[in-house]
Amino acid sequence: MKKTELYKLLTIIVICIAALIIPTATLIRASGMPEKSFSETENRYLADFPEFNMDAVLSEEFMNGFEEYFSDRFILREEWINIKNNFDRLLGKKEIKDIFTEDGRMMEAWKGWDEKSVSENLDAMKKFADTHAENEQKIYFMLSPNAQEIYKDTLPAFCGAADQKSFIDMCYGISDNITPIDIYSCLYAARNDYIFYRTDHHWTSGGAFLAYRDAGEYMGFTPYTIDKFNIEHASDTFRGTLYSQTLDNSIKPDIIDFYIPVTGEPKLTLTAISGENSETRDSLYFREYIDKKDKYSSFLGLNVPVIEINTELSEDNDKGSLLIFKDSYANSLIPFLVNHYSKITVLDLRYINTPFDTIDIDTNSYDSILFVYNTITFSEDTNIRKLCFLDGIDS
Amino acid sequence: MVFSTTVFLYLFLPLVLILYYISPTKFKNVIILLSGLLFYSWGEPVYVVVMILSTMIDYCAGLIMNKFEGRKLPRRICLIVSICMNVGLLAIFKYSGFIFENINAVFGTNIDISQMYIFGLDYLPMDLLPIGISFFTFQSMSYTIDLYLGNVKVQKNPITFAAFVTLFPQIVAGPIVRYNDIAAELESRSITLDLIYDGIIKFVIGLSKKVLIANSIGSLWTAVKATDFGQLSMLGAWLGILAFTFQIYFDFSGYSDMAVGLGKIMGFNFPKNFDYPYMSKSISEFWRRWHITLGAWFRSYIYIPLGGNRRGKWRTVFNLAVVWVITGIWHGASWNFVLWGSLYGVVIICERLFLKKLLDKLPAAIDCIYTMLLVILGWVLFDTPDLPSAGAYISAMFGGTGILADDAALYQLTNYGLMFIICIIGCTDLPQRAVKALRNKLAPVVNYAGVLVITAMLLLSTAYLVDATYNPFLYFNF
Repeated sequence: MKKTELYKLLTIIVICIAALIIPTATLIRASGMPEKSFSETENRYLADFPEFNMDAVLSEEFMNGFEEYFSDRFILREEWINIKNNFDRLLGKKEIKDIFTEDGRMMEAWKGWDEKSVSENLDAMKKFADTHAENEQKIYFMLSPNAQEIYKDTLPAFCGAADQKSFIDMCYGISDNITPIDIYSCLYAARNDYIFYRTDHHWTSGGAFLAYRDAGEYMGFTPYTIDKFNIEHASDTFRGTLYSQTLDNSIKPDIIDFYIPVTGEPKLTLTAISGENSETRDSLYFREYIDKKDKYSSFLGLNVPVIEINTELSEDNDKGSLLIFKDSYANSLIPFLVNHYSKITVLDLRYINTPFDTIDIDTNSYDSILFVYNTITFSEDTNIRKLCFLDGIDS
Repeated sequence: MVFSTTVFLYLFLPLVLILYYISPTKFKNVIILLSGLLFYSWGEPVYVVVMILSTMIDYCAGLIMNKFEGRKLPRRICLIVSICMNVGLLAIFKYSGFIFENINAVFGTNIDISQMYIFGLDYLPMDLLPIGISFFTFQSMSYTIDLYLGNVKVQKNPITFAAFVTLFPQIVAGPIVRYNDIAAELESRSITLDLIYDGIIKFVIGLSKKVLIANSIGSLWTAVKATDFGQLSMLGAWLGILAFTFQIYFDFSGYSDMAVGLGKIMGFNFPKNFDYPYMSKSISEFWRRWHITLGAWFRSYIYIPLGGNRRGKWRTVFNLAVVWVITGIWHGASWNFVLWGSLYGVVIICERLFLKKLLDKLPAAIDCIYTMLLVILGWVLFDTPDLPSAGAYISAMFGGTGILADDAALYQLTNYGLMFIICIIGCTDLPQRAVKALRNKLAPVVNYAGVLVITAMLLLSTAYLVDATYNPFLYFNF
């Protein structure tokens, strides 16, 4: 009998080793991980071992669940994903998981919006504004562009990125009772500064500061100048939500800055309310998140339905009460606003699921109302319509 | 289960192969049967009964046929029962939706198949297609037909016969392995290291074709398919359908390669299913190189029994027409597939009658372009949801929307340009010839580099499976 050549044996041995080590290591890793394992890098819970019973098998829930479980806990999972993303880039893919990576920066790709959904959002806002304007309440709208817009000249050719400027202008024109706050020009002008995170979809505190400065002009307070703040570098190892998608280590981690007034953080109480639970603190900064993956949550903590902030301000500095409807962009903006409003209530409509009558807030009682959103969230979020169900509006 | 999942590759396969290799020869078929049942029920926990049913019918039909050795009538009855049962399973599970849709359209009735259940059992919905049904019914029918024709001997061992049907490498997406192809190997086969090596190479190449190439280029087609065909630019339409042209080839032939490779690893030699079809110079040749086992099945069991080409020109035309309408509908239950198959029938009849002589006189390049153009147009019919959208798509391909190129298409070109080049080279025999030529000069270097390349391909495919955002199984229609 002819002897099998060495290279053939070698191939068989190498493949067999791979086919034995990978499953063994995966099973050891998977069984060593606790239930409800959270992947810090991917920023999500990993699939648990599925329930095993007749129904789950017949409906294939068990099989699908098991495949997810096995994939989620696969040995060296993040390294595999990295290999894949790098190879995709090598093949010329300009977008990995709807994220552009250009010029040392990751940017969410936004290629358009659903007209019907956006107009429903705008109608709800207009209705809300028109009713509340009758109470002499001032209503402001701050719609931020995203990194994709500010750095559009770095995007790949023909990539189909939609124009956010015209979207913002359209949203700003819906009602005379809403005062739009133009922050586009100053953000665009500061594009060479560090105003958007490289690995996260939010603006930096620096970007939020520019928005705050502009807001002062429209809302009638005198914003602090930059020299009134001590800038504290809270972290320089922040890898944000966009990193969690691409796991691209080639992009430099981000810096988280806290802009603390030179006189110190004002004396305040913050109460975060989520359903029956509430938590009260005396700082806007949740420093425990600085050591975790989700470092952006060090601004006001995790997103919750309602946050109330009461600040001790001298009377001449106090513009009164402010109600904010927002997405997470507002979280790094609010630390600036507390210097001018002694009472701020923050509502995150995305997290409000209970009927509104259980939330003890009278929207008519605030001096001013501010909407803070970024373009992508505003165009995709369907929760803004919940405004219609708030008090004072029949629908 | 499908091959391109981490669970198959890194759990099912190693476990089954270990059991398979360590078990004594006489138990190997039991392992095949059990692993095949597990493999199939992983994806079809309920409809595995359909497969078992089909297997049992054909096994019994075989036994009875054998009993009436030499008596035509009872043997013929057995054959008819087997065919009717298998075709009946296909009719119920695959075509009932299509049949009632047309009955509703013609008679104005309103029978809703999605509300109907087999035997009234709510976990047996009528509108669900058991995966691979078109493959395993054809495989198992090949046994009874060949037995009737006297081409094979009866299989008395139920485990051996069941192992043939449930042999997991070929169960869900072909090749259509006929009983005759592996009858001897079912009884006794030798598993050699050389065969295992060949199998590994074939499997890893197939896996890479599916995971690295087909899935990648396929996402372009998915994106194009989601757009409004009325707004599609000419460039976009061509890129889209070319992407599908490559996707289906690399996916399907990759799947067949994996099956053939696994077969070898287990000691079987399955027939070849693809032979560089996109290099064909006529449609007749294309179908001799594309899904070879399906063509061979129809040829052996429909075309030739109908008389083939021995009964005169017009009978041949008729026979071809029958085969091609059936080929079309085999691929899926909709008018698109009927038309798709029929058009191939028309072209093949034309080629046979006069076109072939003309093609022979033309330069080879023109013949290739002619073939690919028809194949590509065929894929439009094949993978658009209905005839009007196929029409709209073809119109966009020829400038019907008045848009030559738009940003979306140019962007896709920049994103997938390199992938297209890889696909074009990959679907010819160029890589294979290059390896051969190199091996003639530098055999040891090529052989040892091969170890690295194959390992790298396996690991890269693994990376794509671990992060499987897009990993479709294309043959749910079949």
